[in-house]
Amino acid sequence: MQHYHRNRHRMFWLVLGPLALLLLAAALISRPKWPTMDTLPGAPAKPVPSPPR
Amino acid sequence: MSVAYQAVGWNAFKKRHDLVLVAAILAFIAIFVGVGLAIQPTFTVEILLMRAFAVAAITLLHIILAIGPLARLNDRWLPLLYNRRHLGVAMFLLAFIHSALAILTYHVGSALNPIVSIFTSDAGARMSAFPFQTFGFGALMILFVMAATSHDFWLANLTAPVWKTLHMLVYVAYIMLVIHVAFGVLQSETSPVYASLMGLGILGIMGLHLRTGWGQVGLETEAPICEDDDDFVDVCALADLEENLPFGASVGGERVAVIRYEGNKVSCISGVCQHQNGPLAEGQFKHGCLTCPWHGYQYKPHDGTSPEPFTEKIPTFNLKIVDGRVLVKNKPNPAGTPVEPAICPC
Repeated sequence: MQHYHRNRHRMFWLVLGPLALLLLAAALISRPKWPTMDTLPGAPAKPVPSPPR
Repeated sequence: MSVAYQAVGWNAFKKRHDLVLVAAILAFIAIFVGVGLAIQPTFTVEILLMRAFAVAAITLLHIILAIGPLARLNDRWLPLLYNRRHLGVAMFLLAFIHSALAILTYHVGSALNPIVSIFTSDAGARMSAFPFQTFGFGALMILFVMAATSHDFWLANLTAPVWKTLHMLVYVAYIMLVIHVAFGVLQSETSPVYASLMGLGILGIMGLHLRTGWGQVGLETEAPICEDDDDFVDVCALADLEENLPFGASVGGERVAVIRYEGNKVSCISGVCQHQNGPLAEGQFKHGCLTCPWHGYQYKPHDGTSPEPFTEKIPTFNLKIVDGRVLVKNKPNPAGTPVEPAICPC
């Protein structure tokens, strides 16, 4: 006899949903700081503002 | 339900459904690439196409996962449920094109085999070297198996329980895709739009499934054992049975459908459709048969067989009426066993 599991399996989402959200949050928190153009080696130095007269 | 093999049992609705699906996918990809080029001119067309197919695939996956609970909450969604496998195959093709574009863009051209490169290019101890492509590849393999076995031919040969279990792997694929997206594109894409959409998608699917599952918990409560005869369970009062309206209950851990028909006859058959385990107790009584709400498979209430020329059959249950209560035997008869209907004195 076939077992009816259509409703029971929906409760998997009690685990799946929070797990997915946790993974998403972990990925966003651990996002690396990517170098920007002005922090790369060889980037032109920022102009030094002239002192106030 | 067909008695002969057909590649796809096309009908006007399915053709219209698939036409709309293809048009919507093409429009989405065109708009995504067009808008992408306008607001981020540094991106190449290849990169935008890769992302467009990926976003289309994961959006479609969320739609697919939402259709099941939506159809149980409201009958209006049932037509989409009938064609969900077409959406699944389309989603696999979108994911496959995305992966092909990624391999062509990032992995072809070096001395290393492109497939090997998928598994080795991310290897490293830093988070920025998280092997997200391995998870994407794993999910694609699951989606491939699901797409390849989506035809009724495989459903019939594997049997519904095996087929359903195999297709439950979609949940594994979903988690792998969350990892693929979160530790892949979301590491470099700092716009909050993508991360927010992904989070909302997870919350939406989780909410829909839990809402539906919670609403059905009562139906799975086991009917009490009859005091006078412990082979039988007390399913309901006779007065609870409306003519031609199936009554769902759980007997011995199995879902059953009790039906009063032709005025005073009462029968009990399994509440699980042989096709895809659909909920027969939520179906309609049509042409002398209990009809599954999902795909229209039909079963005669007195013997659980489908009308000719179809060959499906489900278990029947012995049933008796005592003092206005409907008592159902706690062990099913073999599928297709005729059982004389109980006659109610109504």
